[in-house]
Amino acid sequence: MSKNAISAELPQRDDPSYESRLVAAVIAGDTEAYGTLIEPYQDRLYHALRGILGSHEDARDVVQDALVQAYRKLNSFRAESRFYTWLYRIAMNLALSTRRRKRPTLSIEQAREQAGSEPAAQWVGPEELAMRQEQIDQLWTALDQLPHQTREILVLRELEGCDYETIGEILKLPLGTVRSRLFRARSQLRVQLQNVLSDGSV
Amino acid sequence: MNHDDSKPRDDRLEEPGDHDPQLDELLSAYVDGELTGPELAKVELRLQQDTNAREWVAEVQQLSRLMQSLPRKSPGPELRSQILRQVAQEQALSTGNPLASPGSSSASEPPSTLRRWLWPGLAIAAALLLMFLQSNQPEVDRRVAGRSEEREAKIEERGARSEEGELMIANKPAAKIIPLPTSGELVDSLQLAEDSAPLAKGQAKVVPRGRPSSPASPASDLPVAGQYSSPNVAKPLSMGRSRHFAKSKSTSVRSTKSDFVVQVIVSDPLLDGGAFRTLLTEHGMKPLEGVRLSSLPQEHSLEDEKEVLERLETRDRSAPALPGEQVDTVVVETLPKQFHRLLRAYRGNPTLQGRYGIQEAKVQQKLSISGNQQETAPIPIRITFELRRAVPSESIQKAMSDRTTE
Repeated sequence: MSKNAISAELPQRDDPSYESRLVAAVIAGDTEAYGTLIEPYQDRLYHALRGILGSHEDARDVVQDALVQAYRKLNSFRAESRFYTWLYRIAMNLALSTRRRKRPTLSIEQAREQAGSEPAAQWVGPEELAMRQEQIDQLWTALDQLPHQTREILVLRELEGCDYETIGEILKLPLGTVRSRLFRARSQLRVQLQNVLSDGSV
Repeated sequence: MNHDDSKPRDDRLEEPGDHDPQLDELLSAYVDGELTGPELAKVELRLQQDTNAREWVAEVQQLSRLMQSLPRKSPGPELRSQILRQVAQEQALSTGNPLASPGSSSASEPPSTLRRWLWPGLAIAAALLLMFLQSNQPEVDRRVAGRSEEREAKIEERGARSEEGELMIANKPAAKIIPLPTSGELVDSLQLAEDSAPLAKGQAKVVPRGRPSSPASPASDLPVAGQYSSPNVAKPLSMGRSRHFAKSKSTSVRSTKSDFVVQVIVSDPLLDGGAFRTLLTEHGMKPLEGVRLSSLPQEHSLEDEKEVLERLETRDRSAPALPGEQVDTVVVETLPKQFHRLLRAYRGNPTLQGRYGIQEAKVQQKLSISGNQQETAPIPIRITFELRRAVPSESIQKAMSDRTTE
């Protein structure tokens, strides 16, 4: 099983000082540099937040707020942590606040709406496609019913592909806690999605 | 997979016997490839012996695949530009250095030779802006019909005035302050341009009207007055706010960031865009990108400025711009509060005390949504300063000289 570390997915930034140079430029007043700095992260941050918050609107708002807040706090960013994890920590805190303000419950229709239409692979027939969409709908619904903490760690692992160390950095958790939380999160999701798993079609 | 539906499912593995909870957690870490050495060996041994563990791992792997296959959507192409615009605004509202800690001073201290000419220019700029804002109608309502959103804007100004006098810096005349006409003589109405085809919805334009045929003020024939006296030079004014502010159950109302655009013409030959920009930066108003700035020519000197000043004191200010007269455009985006802070700082300048009479100015907007939700929030105003000055070159000096002798 390959380790799906986030660092392997980062865009080509071979120079280790690339990001820190961008950060310095932003602090010096170069807003364009900030655009370059956040460019690799905004889409994936949105995808992760959509997984946590469930709604396109909320995810978009939190991405925007997080990136603006990160700009404000950039002076407090320390080079010893990665910009990615620092940014995600801000975003996760905002997502938690947003979710506390309103706790939506997704209907199947809403889940389908937010899941969007999946691009149909050529080898997938209409029946399989419909079945697959059904699974995705159920997954969204199940995710929505999980506690925020559970959903958050699942998203970081499964949607973001973060390794345990990165998850620990973002959520400020020791590795042992990351392990136990992920185990519990998966166990809960597994219970909720028994019918999907029973199909054996995933 | 073979599941017995009657069998209760739990967070714990359904494993008979004395299984270790930590061993369960290792299974999850195993799925993620996070195990090495003895821990990996321990799990692999268990998987050989434990059917439930094998089943748990297989199902969790299925769930991982399912989650990873969730379609990725884009947040929309405009998100990035919205963020950067907001960041630029943050920077504009900060104190010089966009990320400077409170209390830290701006690194860009203007040269003393420039600084000494800043205040006269600002005096005129501020007076003209306030003149523009001041209205015979204290409240101007704007309503934008459309969708579920109704916007209402209110502008209030009071007590803005200027006094005649001479600006003295170091006991030397630096600029002449000429009483300005009340803005009511120039512009007394701001209207949304709903019926104006060239302007997009949500924009507005300044509609000058009601200018008296015989200006009450002797200075109402300033070039700046002329800028607003003709409908042909009506300036677009867009309104809105930067962040979404209301959501209904079914749909969210998000208005894009837009702003007031106020154009101020400053006819001051001594005010250079770079110096003015520095002044604005000191007050947390960083000019936006795309600012057109012309800098003082290389041969410029303080003596040149003084000479120009002396000549200008006799120049007919109502005359159109001189050939070669330079116009610097500085656009700032700021909150009304920030702008007022600058005005207060200006008023607090001991050199100018008693010589310039801004009392108070207030710009406020009120937004109402759907008639039942109401929220008042400051809206960024975008101010375009046009700073006119004569380049003290021989040709300009000659042109000015010719004009004053006519």
